[in-house]
Amino acid sequence: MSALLELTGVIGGYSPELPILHGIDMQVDAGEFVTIIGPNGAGKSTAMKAIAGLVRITEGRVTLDGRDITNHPTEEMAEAGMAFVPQTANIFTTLTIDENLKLGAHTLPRKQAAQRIAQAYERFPDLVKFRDSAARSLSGGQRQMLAVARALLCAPRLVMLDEPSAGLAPNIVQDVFVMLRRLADDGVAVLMVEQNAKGAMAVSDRTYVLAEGENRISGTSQEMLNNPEVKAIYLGNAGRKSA
Amino acid sequence: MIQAIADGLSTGAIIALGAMGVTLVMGILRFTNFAHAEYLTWGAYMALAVLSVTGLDAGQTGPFRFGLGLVLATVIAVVLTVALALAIDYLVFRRLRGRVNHITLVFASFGVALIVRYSIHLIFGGAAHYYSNDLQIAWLIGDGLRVMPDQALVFALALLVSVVLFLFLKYSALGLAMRGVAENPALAAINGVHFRKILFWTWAIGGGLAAVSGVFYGMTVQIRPDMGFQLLLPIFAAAILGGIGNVVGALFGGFIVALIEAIALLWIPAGYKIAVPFVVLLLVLWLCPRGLFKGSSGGSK
Repeated sequence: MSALLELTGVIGGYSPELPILHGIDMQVDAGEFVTIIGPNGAGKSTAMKAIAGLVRITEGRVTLDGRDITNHPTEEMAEAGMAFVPQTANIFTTLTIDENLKLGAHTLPRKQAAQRIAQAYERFPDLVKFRDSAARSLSGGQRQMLAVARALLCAPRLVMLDEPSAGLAPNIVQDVFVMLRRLADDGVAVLMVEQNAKGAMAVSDRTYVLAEGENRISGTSQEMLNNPEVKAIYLGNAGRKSA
Repeated sequence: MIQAIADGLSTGAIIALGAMGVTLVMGILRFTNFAHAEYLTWGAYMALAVLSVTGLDAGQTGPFRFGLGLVLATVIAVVLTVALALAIDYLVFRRLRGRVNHITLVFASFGVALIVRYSIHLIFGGAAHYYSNDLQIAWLIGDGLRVMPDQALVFALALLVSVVLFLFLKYSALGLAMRGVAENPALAAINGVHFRKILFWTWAIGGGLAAVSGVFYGMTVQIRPDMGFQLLLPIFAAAILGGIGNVVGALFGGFIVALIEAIALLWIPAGYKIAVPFVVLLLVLWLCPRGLFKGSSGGSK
């Protein structure tokens, strides 16, 4: 059985003369929770943006369910069955929560969009009381909740998240990870870039370690948690080092 | 003073329509299009050309020098101005967008402005034209206030257009998508918003507003190739005063600039009129750079 998402020898970056990714290979199966970790400048976020069509791929191939989506227009990502939550600016702060969700569902027929938005409020009840407030008034955790709620509106088969724990309090980070784990258990593939290596590996199925735009190590998250190299570089004594 | 306020409100409506188009383009497409004022001139001349080619009369409806003929001419002028705006985007701005810095785009718009203005000059000549040569009798209101019926009509129509535009941006799916692109184009794309569609509608609305504004202006002044250029500074002052991307702000900005201009004329010679919006612009940029109604670096409200 082929993977849901597959990257083969992906080379790319913000300019063709200066590639950041130097031949990345990666696979995510349906319903699988995959984490990408690595030091700063490893190309983790760039890899995710390349999948989303926000960064140009000059060589290599990205497929979703066997279909070539290399350099696919970002606008068509939702219809292809993918959702992406960027690390920063992942909600529309000048719009209300309701408007954020409406915009997230705007490719759907009106009735279906209304149903999905109602389901989003059921899944994230904390958002209900703010529905008519500007999204800028939300806390960090609530913003992340809204970003994930928006990403799920089109019922994607794959959700990509770029450092969803950034700037969140530790207890909220745990809530976000648990929420993503549940999502994967419900059959949605999750691909997450994360600095909190230990926390991310604890909830995910598999982990890729990138360094200098290349694959370094990969395996099940359990194996990676016990891998001496990963332990030494990313987990350290404090259990959390910049990954 | 009351007469100056009445005159200011009438001119303010025309400035406001132009400023709403400018602020929409600045907020969503993130560049300052100095050719926008020439779209007003183009709209005014296109309506004139339609009247001339079809032999229609501007029409007379009750006290207004604005009848079915001019309504039809305005509709066609809107279509032709939108076509011009889209053609210029295709031929000039599209080729530069994302490849050059903001200032290069602004200079390109200066070049486009000159080309449009002198093309109009070449085609229609430099002489003044009018939609109608009919005389209009002013309404006498209260104790000495004179209001031309066309001025009152222009004021009411401008308010109506502003309300419709505000409701469109606030409540329609397309308006929501336009506001989304204005704040964060990349996130809007992630949500499946097609930039080309938003680009089309931004120019369509901006160009349409410019055409309507141009025809309204042509009803109250002589139609000349430099009529838009005369409104350039007041329009940009109004857009900045209202806050970039803020359509309601641009409406109020238009009225504020025109009222200040009209009231200032009570004390200063008419030759200095053009300096008034410049002073307003300087004061706004100095005291309140984001405008009175808090615009954004990119954004449409």
